[in-house]
Amino acid sequence: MTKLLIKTLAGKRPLTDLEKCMLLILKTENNISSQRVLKLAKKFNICASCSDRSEVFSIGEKLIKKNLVKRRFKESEYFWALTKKGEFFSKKI
Amino acid sequence: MGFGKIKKEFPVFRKKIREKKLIYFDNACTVLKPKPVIKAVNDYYQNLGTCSGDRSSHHLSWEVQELIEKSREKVKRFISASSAKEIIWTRNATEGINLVAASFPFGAKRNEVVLTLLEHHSVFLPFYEQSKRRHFKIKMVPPNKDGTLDLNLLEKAITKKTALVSVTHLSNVTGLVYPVKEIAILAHQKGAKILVDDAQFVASHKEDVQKNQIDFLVFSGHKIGGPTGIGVLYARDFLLKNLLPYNIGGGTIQSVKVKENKIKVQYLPPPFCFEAGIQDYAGIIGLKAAIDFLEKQNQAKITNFIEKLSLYAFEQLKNFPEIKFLANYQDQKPSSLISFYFKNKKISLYDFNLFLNYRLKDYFVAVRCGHHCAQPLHHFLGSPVSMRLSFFIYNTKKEVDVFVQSLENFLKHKK
Repeated sequence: MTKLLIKTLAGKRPLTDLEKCMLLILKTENNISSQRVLKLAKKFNICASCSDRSEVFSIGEKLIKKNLVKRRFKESEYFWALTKKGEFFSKKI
Repeated sequence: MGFGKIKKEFPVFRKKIREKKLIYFDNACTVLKPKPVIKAVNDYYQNLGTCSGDRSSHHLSWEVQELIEKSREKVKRFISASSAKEIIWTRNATEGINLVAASFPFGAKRNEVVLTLLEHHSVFLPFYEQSKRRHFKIKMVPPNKDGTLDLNLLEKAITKKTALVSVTHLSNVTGLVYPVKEIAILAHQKGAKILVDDAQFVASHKEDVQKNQIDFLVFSGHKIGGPTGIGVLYARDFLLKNLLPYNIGGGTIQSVKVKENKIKVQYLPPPFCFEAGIQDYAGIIGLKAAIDFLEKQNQAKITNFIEKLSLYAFEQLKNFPEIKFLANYQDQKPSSLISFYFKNKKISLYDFNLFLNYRLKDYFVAVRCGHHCAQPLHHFLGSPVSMRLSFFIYNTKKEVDVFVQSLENFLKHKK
């Protein structure tokens, strides 16, 4: 697997498992609701979270800042999708 | 009601989150830190920064030791223990429970632990793991569907084989206070001991371990505004002496001798035999500052304020037919928090959480959404996750109103 690096204030670092998890979910199904994200998360080992399921959305927010993921709000629901950069990253996972 | 300008004592409120004001309803996870706590921790690192005098022998270390023992005395009075020797420093409530689960002297005839389904994973898991290693049995007692405990059911579960009953004083999910004194009496009648998880209780209520006849009690400093990484295990003096060694090493021994390949160890008396290695001095000193701060605000006033605010939140939220509470707050008053979920499974709590974070014009509202480390209880109550609003003295009715208005707006978007 190619080492995927993202820029942070502390310098470049590899993606964490949870970050890869979110990208992997959206690679499987793009532009999906939060509920669908959670359902798909159960399929991937790297999505196993140590405390709470909401972590995947905290990670989603991080990835939005990194321009890898985007979300939109429609009728009381959030939908999650990969950006172009996110698509490029997700192909390498 | 109200603590006026208390927010000014909490520097984090000066910070804007994406130009928005912070409304913090995640106090059951951790309480924000007041200035005196930050100052106390900073003062230790700035002006002392050394070991305690029970290790080193110089003026700075004696100063540290004096502060540590003052903190121990402060904790003793905070929970009304009979002696400072009954106070053991831990990293948090979880570590205190792990210590009891690993060290409690189970007998051949007394080898059962009674737990309620209300408990946090931090209670379940230490006992679960130790039950496999130490071969004791766990008995589970479910609550009623309204979140209360059936004491008759609990009484039946406690037998002459019960060594220990472990129960939360204030559930981090239901927000209800449980009758630990009555439970302690039930346990003692059968010759068992009681361990009380006070992690949620002590931030908003006055604890009295003697009045409540508690044998073991744990809490975390950070949940009362103290530093992270410091907690307390209280154990009655005569019980401490019978606990098996747990975390041992430097600072726990009277003497270690090796003669002809045989090691002979004599441990220090409690509490020191349970406090191995360099302690979290800054945390211990910060914990005292947090207790001083709570006491300065008047604990009875804190209880009254937080209970009234919790009830106010329930009174506002009960008007939403879309939500279901995890306890019956109509008959049992919430004590410091309330939890709910959407009846319609197609509406996501996580989306509402994001809505509170990103869609409000003037506010960023922090709540907790998830299973709150209590999966068995959530499954029992019919929802894998819930949203929890937990309150502290810096919260206001106006903030609750913002939350309620936000919920209304969120649900309006749903066609």
